[in-house]
Amino acid sequence: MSERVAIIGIGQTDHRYIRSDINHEEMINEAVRKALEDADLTIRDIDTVIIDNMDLFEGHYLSDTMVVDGAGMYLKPGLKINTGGTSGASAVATGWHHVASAVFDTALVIGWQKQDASPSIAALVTAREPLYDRDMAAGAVGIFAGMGLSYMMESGCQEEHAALARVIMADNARRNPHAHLRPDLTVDDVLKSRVLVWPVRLLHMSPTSCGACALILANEKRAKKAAKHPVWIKDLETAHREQSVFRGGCVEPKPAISAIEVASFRLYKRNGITKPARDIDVWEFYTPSSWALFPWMELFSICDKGQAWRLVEKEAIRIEGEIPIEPSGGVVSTNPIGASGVIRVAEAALQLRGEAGDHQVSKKAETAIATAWGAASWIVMFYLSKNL
Amino acid sequence: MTAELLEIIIPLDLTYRWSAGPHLGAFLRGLKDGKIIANRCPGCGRLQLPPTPACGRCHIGMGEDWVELSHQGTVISYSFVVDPMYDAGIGDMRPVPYTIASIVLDGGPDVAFFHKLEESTPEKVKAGMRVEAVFRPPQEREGTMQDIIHFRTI
Repeated sequence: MSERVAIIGIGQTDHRYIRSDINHEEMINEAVRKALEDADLTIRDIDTVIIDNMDLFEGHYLSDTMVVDGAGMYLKPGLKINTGGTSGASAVATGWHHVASAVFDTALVIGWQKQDASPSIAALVTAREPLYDRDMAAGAVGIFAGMGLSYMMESGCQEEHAALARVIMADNARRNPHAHLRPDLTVDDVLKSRVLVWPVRLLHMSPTSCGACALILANEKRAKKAAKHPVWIKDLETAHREQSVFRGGCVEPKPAISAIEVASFRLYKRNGITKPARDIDVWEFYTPSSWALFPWMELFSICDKGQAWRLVEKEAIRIEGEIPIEPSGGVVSTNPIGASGVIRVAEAALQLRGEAGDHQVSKKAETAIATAWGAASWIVMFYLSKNL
Repeated sequence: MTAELLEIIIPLDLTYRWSAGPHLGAFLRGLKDGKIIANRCPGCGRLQLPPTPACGRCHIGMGEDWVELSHQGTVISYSFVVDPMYDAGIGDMRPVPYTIASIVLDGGPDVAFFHKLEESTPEKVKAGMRVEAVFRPPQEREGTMQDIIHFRTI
């Protein structure tokens, strides 16, 4: 039996395109101070610190060597996590393991990215096997183009539906002061934005953001004395496989079960979640392109295969809807990549606290799923609950 | 403190040396000879392209069952790259537009090959279309993916 783990402190910067006013350490420190203040704790109350960002996105390897003091890691135990797009969620999972194992009472988890330093895509394209598929690689955009085209061919979804999903995310982001892109969009605006890799248009892709997010995790004993209502990480799950896209270079024409299905089936079964659309009140997916929203909704069993675009068409995913998804505006609005996985958990926790402000969902929120997804179809998912 | 905030530009230009290893190496040598080589898992019989040292599902060594695939195949998915994209091979922007496709080559139903199509008119590209690899002349091949220029419509 592992220790129960709760989120007792949440802090994030405002996420912006450029933060030339501060360096990495200062940006991280901003989020850490907010999390400590939120939890009414000092750095002395923190037993271990887990950090993550995408190494090399700023052209800097071992980025932990320049942030130790600002992160509050000075002479504390801890480590850095780097698992691609899932890095932030993997860091939260690592923090959970450190506390659930009863080795530490509290853990500070920090994710950040400062993408004003360089074009991150230059680092991202090096993720491909250099001798086989790098010549053709079109970065993350190419992956979501394949996803979007397959989904349209299989489901009857049209470009208009992906555009509406993007409009809804923009509407959500405008209600979240931390969000990066907060435009007032119409479906027509999205359909007129320029094609990057068809059917992915510029407005379908997440921005390159600067930002940091910090969470403080605690065991049950500490959580019961917390300043704010603790939000419990009831369960988590990860699964890893390369599906349909590059499996060591190999592409499977007919992909078998996806990592998302494997992970969510396991987590739902353990927690008696039989109808996710009913049993989960808020979803914070990691959706780097609005085209990914449809397969995500189906793979997480919110609806049957081929039906997600119909739920979007009915606008059921809005903040006021029956199945609110990414009320924060999601990754397509805000993507400081190393922080993005931490932000998903932070935003889901704020919803369960009832502290999400203007983007607080209308329905009563007691359970949430927060996820991250990254290269090689690595999925990390958390089941959060307001009650133990 | 009202000092000017500084931003410093630091260029980074590096060269890398990658080992192909015996399995991907066999595939790249095959390209130089005008062949597309896969290998077959002795456990489940599944083909791998490019050849791999181990089958992910069976987790056993792939052995020496090399299989030459046809130069012809069927497009199962495609896209059009329109926006300039960084090319990690040259460290600069790649010319656009170009068409990318997943192609199931005849004789290799378990795997798809990922390459460019010659056809760039969106209306003329469809899933199910038949295509054929166009290799560079033998003296120009270097054992890289560029030994195939693209796939043309047949």
